[in-house]
Amino acid sequence: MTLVQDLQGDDFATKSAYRAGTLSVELVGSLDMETTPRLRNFLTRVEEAAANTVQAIVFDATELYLMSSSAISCFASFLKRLKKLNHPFRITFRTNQAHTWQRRAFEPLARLAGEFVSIE
Amino acid sequence: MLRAKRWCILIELSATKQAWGGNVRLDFDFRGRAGYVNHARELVAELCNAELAGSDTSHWIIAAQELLENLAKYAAPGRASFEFELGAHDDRRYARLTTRNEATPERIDVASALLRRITESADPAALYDSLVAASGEDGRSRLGLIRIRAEGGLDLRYTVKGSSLEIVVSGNVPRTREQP
Repeated sequence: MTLVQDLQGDDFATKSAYRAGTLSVELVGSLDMETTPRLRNFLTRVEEAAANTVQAIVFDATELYLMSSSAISCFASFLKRLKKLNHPFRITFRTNQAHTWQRRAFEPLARLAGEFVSIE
Repeated sequence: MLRAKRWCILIELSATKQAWGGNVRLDFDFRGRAGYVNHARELVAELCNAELAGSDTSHWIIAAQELLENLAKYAAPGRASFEFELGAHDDRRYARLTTRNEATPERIDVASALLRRITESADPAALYDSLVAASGEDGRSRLGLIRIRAEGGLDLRYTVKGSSLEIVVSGNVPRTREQP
């Protein structure tokens, strides 16, 4: 089932699927100064679509090859908005061990909202 | 070496028993040119793959991306310089990224204040967390430079002379089996 319209593009795209209260979002490509504004819009749509429906969101970064600080900031803003909700979704960032930078990049986000964010 | 009115690429590489290393310097007007940023980062990645095979060089690729994005977003009109250097000193091998650009007085003030906090911080991870918590409130991340120090563990220095800003990121790199 599709809950939110995915981003298309050669540089960055998303592939999302909704099942049994969990929204899974594959992040594919590179998040840099050019593609991050599209991520920002996507996360806003996720937030709107997920309200009262979703219990958990899994961001799968297995095929994410680069994430610059603008994207970290974008995720941080998203998490800060979720923090204000009475019952924020459970957020998981699924990393690729072959991309050693990923865990280092997502850890500050887990520290920002450790009560509902985890890294796999 | 290629030279033209608006851009310059300088590549020098050597890998002999006498002198391992080399450098790549790109002089462009990077402003707003994400394509230039990506090509320059990929060049650094290819050099790391070739010269530092087998070691984790991802923090150098991330550092290059952050410095290049800063040039694209904040440099004043005109040519800015980006340089990646691999070198050896005594028995130590190092990598170094250097950017030089002109900027407005307002931008120089903002960058200097942030760079001072980052370079003087005794706990970069704690500073990173506080900047992440405040990030995005004015539409700017302000995370690129602290990320280089907190995530990558690299040394960061800067020099301001009038409207010119120079940032130098450096660190040791391992000797790989292929290196002479």
